[in-house]
Amino acid sequence: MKQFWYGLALLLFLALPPVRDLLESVMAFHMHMQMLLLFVSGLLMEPFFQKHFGGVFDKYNKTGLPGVVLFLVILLYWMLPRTMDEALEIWFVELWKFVSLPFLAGVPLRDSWKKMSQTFEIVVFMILMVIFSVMTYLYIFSESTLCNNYLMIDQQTVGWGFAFFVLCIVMYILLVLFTDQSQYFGDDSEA
Amino acid sequence: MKKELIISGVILVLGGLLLFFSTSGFTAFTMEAQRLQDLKAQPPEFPNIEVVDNKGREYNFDEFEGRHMLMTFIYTSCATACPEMSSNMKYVYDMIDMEKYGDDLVFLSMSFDTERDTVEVLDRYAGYFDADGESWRMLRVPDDEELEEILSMYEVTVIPEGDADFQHNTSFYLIEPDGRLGEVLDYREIDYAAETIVEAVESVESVEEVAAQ
Repeated sequence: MKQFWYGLALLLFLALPPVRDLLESVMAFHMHMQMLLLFVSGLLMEPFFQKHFGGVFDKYNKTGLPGVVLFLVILLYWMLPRTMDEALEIWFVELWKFVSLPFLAGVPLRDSWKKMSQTFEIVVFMILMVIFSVMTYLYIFSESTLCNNYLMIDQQTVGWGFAFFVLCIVMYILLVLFTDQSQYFGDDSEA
Repeated sequence: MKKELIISGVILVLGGLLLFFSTSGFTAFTMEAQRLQDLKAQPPEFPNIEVVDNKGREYNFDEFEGRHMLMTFIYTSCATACPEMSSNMKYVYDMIDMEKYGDDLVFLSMSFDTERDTVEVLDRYAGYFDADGESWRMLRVPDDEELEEILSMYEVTVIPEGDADFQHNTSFYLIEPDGRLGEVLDYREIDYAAETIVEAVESVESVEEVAAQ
């Protein structure tokens, strides 16, 4: 339950006007910090929803597939250059960002993650890798500004941020595939 | 498992709808694309602003009413896109038979750096590209508010970058004779730009000929 309070505190902190202004002033902060932290706040708050609305999750998210699909849809939506611009200019899109990323991406993904097999996890990482690779290409090599509110150089920075994500995912997948994880997480671990 | 698949399907459909509506039916993935779409749908309105050209002449922008305009928005101290765009504009200018179309078409390079781009500076810049000051004119807009008006009318975004530079849209704007935005053309595709311009000008001419007969 402690995690829920941390998550909520993080969400509220991010919603503070000065914090919002700062994180939205630079495109890389906006996409790779603000949106990511909103998602993380959702991850942290999941146990609360599990405890109070556990029935809903058990009923509709037994295998974890619907949760992952929901997460991917929300992720894809926020990858559009247009939605980022709109979040800056239209208040209800901004609000939608603060609702959708924690509660429709973070919460369902954590619920699904516990139920997923390792193969499924790797598949999700692969999908993320493909999406982020496309984003890397798009933002680094696009010859026009995709977001009206940011400069070209900001856009390329975001592209390199995505490249870094891809690199991390590749390294993680290699690590999982070529090492015996059970040696590290035995029966005595919490999992 | 079957129920799960159905729920996933429903989420996918709803998500698809969300993406569909937020991109105007998968046609506008950037806000810029959406703005251009909205712009083309707007009723015609001719910009009412005072301009000064590189020969120092002052007149209202409606001087150009009734003609197609190929416009670019530039500042002369720009070292990156503007020279390239202007030299491509020269290629397009040379590709089009201005003797033939001169009455129906004018090339305009409008500066948004009013402070530094004086008449003399513009005239020197025009010299680099052999712009004659008649069928191709370099313009400045002395009044800041009026400059803002025409920039926002054609949705040209200009963001100051550093102390002396600007980040701005680099495109050929083909403006219809009634002031409406016709096409936004890629300045790197000169052949396509020239074709589109001639087509647009000729389509108006043929309509006029039919009307005259």
